[in-house]
This record gives sequence, structure tokens and C-alpha cells, in this order.
Amino acid sequence: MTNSLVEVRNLQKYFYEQDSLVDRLLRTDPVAVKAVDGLEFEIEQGETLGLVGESGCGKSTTGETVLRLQEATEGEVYFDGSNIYDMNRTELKEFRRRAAIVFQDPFSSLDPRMTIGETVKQPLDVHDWPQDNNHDTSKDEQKTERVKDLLNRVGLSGDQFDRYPHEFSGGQRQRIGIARALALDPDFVVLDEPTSALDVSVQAQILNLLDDLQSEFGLTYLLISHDLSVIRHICDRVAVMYLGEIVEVASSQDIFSDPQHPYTKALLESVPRVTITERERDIKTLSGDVPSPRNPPSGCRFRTRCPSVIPPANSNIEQEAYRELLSIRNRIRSRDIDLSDTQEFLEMDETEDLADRVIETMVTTELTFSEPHRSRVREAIAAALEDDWEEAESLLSEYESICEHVSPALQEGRDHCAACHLVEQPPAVVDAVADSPVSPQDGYE
Amino acid sequence: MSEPILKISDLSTSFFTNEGQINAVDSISLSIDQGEVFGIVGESGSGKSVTALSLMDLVESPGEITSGSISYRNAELADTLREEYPDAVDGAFVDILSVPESVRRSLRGPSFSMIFQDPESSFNPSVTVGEQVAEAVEVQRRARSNPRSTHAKTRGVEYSLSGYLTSAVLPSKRFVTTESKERAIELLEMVGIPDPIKRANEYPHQYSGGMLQRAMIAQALAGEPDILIADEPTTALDVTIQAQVLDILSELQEDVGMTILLITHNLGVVARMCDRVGVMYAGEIVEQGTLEDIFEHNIHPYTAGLMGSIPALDNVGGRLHPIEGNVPSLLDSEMRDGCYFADRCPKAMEECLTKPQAFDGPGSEDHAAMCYLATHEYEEEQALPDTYFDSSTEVMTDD
Repeated sequence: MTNSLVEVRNLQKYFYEQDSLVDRLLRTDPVAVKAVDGLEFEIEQGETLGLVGESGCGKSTTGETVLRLQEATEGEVYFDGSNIYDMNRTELKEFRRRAAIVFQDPFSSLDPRMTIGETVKQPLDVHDWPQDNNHDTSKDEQKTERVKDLLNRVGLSGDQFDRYPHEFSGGQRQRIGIARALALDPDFVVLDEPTSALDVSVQAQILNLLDDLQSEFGLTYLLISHDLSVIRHICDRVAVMYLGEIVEVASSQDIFSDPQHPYTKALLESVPRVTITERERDIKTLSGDVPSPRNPPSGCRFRTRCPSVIPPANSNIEQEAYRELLSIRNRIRSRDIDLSDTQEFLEMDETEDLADRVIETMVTTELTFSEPHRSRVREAIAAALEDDWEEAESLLSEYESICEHVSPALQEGRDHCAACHLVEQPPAVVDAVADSPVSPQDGYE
Repeated sequence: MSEPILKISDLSTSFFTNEGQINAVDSISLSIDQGEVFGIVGESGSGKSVTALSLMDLVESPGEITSGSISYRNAELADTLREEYPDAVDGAFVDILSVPESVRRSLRGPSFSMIFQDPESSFNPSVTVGEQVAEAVEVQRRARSNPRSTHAKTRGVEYSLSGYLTSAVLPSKRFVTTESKERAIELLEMVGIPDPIKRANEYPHQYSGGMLQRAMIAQALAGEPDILIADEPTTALDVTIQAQVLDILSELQEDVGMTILLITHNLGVVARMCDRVGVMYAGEIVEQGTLEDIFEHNIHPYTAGLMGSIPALDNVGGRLHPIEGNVPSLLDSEMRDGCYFADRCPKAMEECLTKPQAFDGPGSEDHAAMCYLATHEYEEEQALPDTYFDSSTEVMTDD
């Protein structure tokens, strides 16, 4: 047994849309937005785990469900050995004393009608701190003393006890938020984008402060951020999230020097470096946007944007052309080729020529499909134009990728694991790949 | 080196609020060459955006441009205006602050165009994106078809119920024509929107943030502007999308030879895009020069502080070296006479209590810094005591 403080097992959080009373009366099926879908990770005592990903990937929801600020749909979170979702009221209150959170927006997370002293004191009141009163001073005096200590510790002054939040700048407010989180001497703090609302010079002050507090109080952090340089600066280990799933976990060193998942690589590459040689650096940008979590792609969720999707065996097609072809096939699958606009726009009506024009407008890069791929795509689009979607689909069916069929998974018991078919996969996934109707191109696995 | 297309000298913009006069932009001078990318970098409240708005003449009451000139090089425009406003014209340069509003208005689009920070709030949610881009194209087309283009009526469409009903009944009354719609689709394609014909008929809420930012770039390109002002164009976007948008901007700049004024707080974006950079602090450009001057030979302690505050991706660990304290208030009554940065500056000296001028820097010809350190070395015996500014500013202890 390792000494992990927090252990998350198969954590899921779905939000349901179309779930109101009216929708139920009308018997509309609720739509699940899978914000967090099966996370597994642990945080060891005293370490900082970074959770990084783009907006909408479920980072903040993870932070909140790990603290049970939101009820999880499924899964367990063990804090110091006990599942917080099985706790009763007293146990949960004790857990709340030991775990705290610092919110993203320092402007909306402080009550404007409370002085900052009251704000920082509130957790002490709620938990009736200190529990053993064997001093000669009254509890209230001790609390005030404690608050002043905390304010001093985070770089404010105890004299500012009676001031209101609007009198402080963003960086100072974030310090107040940190003081509040530390009031009860917690073991575990979730930092939800603690510096994203701040300017760089102030951000650096806060990062240094968080660093100092960690070594002084032996805190364990879960740092949620979209900023890779912040993550790199203070995290020991990093988990990269994409569309509600963790795609790669490793030590900070490994993630940044030897990323394995194509998403992590792309993410790292996209960050502009602050050097004068930056302009010469060639960035291969990711195409497209993050898909909707209402209807995530099957198999590997990153496959729609992945620069290295695995083509099927013997297809003999180049990566770029293959990805273009997949996007056309996706649109055929979702019946998303609507030609009335195109037809009107191009002022033509003959289906035969139209197929070529549509290929031209649909293929965004300046590549041409080599034969026999081009004629297949052309036939499929022509079929789609005649509303024969089944035919269109079957024409392109042999281009199925293993990435669509089998979800890759994180390996167990490894320090550096990545959920991608390009790296070695756990036995269950290997079996699934063997069973699937699609065989990956030679050279993979 | 190519010729400057825009010369700003001593530009000041102030806001006259109930609390007093706020000097958001405080006599800045800079010149931008044809076809280059000039970056303005600084923290929030340093006056970056107000500089952009001043150039576009979009400063709204209670703000006002109080002094200075903005000279814009355009031989054609200079010729048309020479007789009417001889004071404003100097060779091929026109001082756009001394010509009437209507002329400045006609420059928006074909000469200056702007993309804003927040694409979600810059589009009308009830009109399709294609229509909104086409509208910009149409406004520019009508302006251009008017021979006296400097006085062109570049009025946009009015959205009203009666307008909607008339255009529904009489297609000829529609503001946007088929040609401008086609041009809009071309523009959308140019900025890398996949399947532009279909996407043109969608509403802003159906677009993602990155797509909308592209659409906004398309809209800004409708008038084929000489100078594109991009105010924090990628701040609201994720890094992977940011990389896409920056790619589009640099492609445009290379293909069309457009001049871009890029305003950002992100030094990485500056490094990726800019030829020359101005660093703003408290309404002033405290240091400017080529990218190399600013990144490698910087003099001003604020520039150095900004660079030291950034956690690097490539080398790990170590403490950051933040700038202590906070950005000062820009209230006229609260500003000191000397260097505005002195109270946060680790190298403040007695001289800093009087205002420094812009000294030449050690880097390239363009390098200039508003700091005494440009002329002589820092000497400790001249340093101001640490507590010198404490009485007047917030107590901020940091370790």
C-alpha cells in the first residue's frame, strides 16, 4: 500500500440535459453530458498533482467532485483510506476540515458584504475552532489572532482585518482566498485555476506563495490549470485530461521531456515560448475543435483531431489524406452533407459534377487523394447526394480505424502511462484489438 | 528597412471620471513600419487597449484624446485632403486627429480594422455569422463605390422589425447583396473555417470560440485594411486554438503584407508574432525595440521583471522572480512626478524621483527605454531606502 492521501477510482460525473419535469411528461430522453468519465488517479502525501486540459474537458468538475462539492454520478474517492461518498455527516465535516479549495475567480468567490477578517474566520466558526480550549483567552480572541496570523502568512497585513474585498486588487484577493482555505490547517487543497485571472507578475507572487506554504505546512495539492508553464513550475506529477478522460499521467519531468500521447505532444507544442527564436519554431497545429461531451467520439476520444490516427492494414494511404477521408466519412455517418446550400451557391444541378465540387469544398487542405481513394470518396459522396446513405457508408467502411473501435486505456502500476494505441496497452485492450474486425496497419503493436 | 506607415507622437488619452482624471495613455510615441507586426505588451490596466481604441477613434465619453498626433501614410488620401485640410497633411502623411470625424470614419475598414478580445460578445447573437461578415463587406463595397471615398456614408444596417418585414417582402430592399455574401464566404474560407458555405448560415452560438475569432478576423478583413489592430486576439482561447489563430494571422501578414498592431499580455505570443515590441506600464511605453532588444538586452527593470515572472516550459524549478506590489492607480491626482515604476522597482535611485526621458538603448537603433539605467549603472549608495514609498502605498509584504 502506497501512502496516497487521495485515491480516485472510476469517478464519473454526468450532467443531464432535458431532464426537467416538462421533459419527463413529454417523455423526452435526458441527454447526458459526460463531464467526467471514469477517472482514476491518486495523489500522494505532500505531492502536487497537476490536472491540465483545455476548457470544457472536465478539470474543474473533477476538482469539485473530489471534494464532494458536487455528488459524483459514480465512483469512489478515498481520502486517507475512507470513501468520502460513504461518509456520514460527522465524518464529512471532519473531511471538510482537512480538505479545502481555492477558487479561480477572486472577484466572485469572496462575499462583498463581509470584511476579509470575517471571511477568513468563517471556517473557524463553522468548525468551532479551536476544539480544545485550555487557554486563558476566549475562543473569539484566539480566532481573531489566528486570522491575523493567516493574513500575515499569505502576505497581507493583520491590520487589514476590517477591510472589504473591493478594497483589494486581484492578487490580494487571491491571497485572501488562500488564507481562508488554510484557516483550518488542512492536509489537502484543491487549487482551481488559482492564477488564471491574474497578471503575470502577480501570478508569480502567488505561485511562490503556494510553493512556500506547501513546504511549510506539508500540504498536498491538486492544481487545476490550463496553463502548462504554471503546471510545470509547481507540479510533481501531471495528469492530462481530454474530454472527461485522463489521457496521460506521468511525473512532471517525463510529461514535458518525453510526452507519449499525441494530445500531450500537441498541447506542449502549441505553447508559445518566450525566446527570440520562437518565430522559427515550426508548430504543427491541431485541427478542429474539441467535440461536444454530449456525444463524444467512439473509441479514442481524441481521434477526431489526432495527427496520428492509425489507418487499417493494407490501406496504403497517407496520414493527412486519411484524416481528411475520416472527416468526410464522419459527416456521411451523421448525415451532415446538406447540399441545398452548396447547390444554390455553385448554381449547378448535375449530381455527377457536384460530387467533385463537393470534395473540393470539403477537403480543407490542398491535398489530392491518390487513387483508388479518390474515386471511392467520389462515389460515396455521389451516393450521399442521392440520399443513399447506407451505400455511401458502406463504400467507405473499409477505412475504419482501430482508434474508433477500441478505447485505449491507461496502463496500471506504471509511473508513466498514456491511453493511446501507439504505446503499449494493458492486456484487456490488446485482447479487444485482437477481437475487433479492424486490424491496425503494420508497424503498430 | 521599409518606411513607417503609422507614426504616433505624444498621444495622450484621458478619462474624466467622477473620481478625477485618469491618464490611461500618457504621451506615447511609436512608429510602425509597413508590413511589420508591432506588439504592445503590458499588464491589465497599463493602457494597451485604450491605445488601440485611440487609433481607431473609438474612445468613448468620458474618455478623450487630449493631445498628440497620429500620422498615417497614404499618398492617395493625402492628395484628396491636401486642399481642404492643409494643416493635417505632411507629404504622404495625414494626421488623422486633425481631420473631421467623417474622414476618420471612412478610414475604418479600408485603412484600420480591429479585432477584439472576446469574440462571443462581439457578434450579434440573432444574426447569422455569414450575414454579419457580408454586412461588413457590403458597407465597405458601398463606401468604395462612392468616388469621394473620404466622405462616404459607411452606415451599417439597422435591425428593426419594420426593416425585417420590408426585406422579407421585397428582396431588393435587403442590405446584403449576393455578391457580398459570396465574398463573405470567401473570407470565411480564407481564415480557415471548414465548410464555409454551410457555416455561413449558422448563428454565433453554433460556433466555438476559436471559430468565432476566425469569423471576426474575416470581418475585419472585409475592407482589406492596411493596418490590422488585434486586441488580445487569443486571450479567450485554449492553447491549441490559439496556435491556429496565430498561424492565420501570420499567414495573412505574409501573404497580403498587412501591418499588424498586436496587443497582448502574453510574452509567448509576442515572441511568436512580433518584429518589434513596446512594453507598456501605467500608460507609458517604458521600453521599445526589436524582439531581441526587449528579450535579451532589456534595460528597464519592469521589462526584466516581466520576463522573470514567467514560469518557463523548457527549464524547470527554481523560484520565480516576481515584481513586488501592484499596478498603480492611474488617477492623475495620485500619480507621482517621477518614474511611475519607482515604487516597485528593485533598483530605484534618487534620480528616479524626477521623470526619466526616453533614452537610447544598447540594442538596435530603435531600442529606447524610459529609465536612467540606460545611461549609467545602478549604484547602491544612491539607492532609495526600501521603505521610501511605504507611507504612500499599500503595505504589501512578500518574501
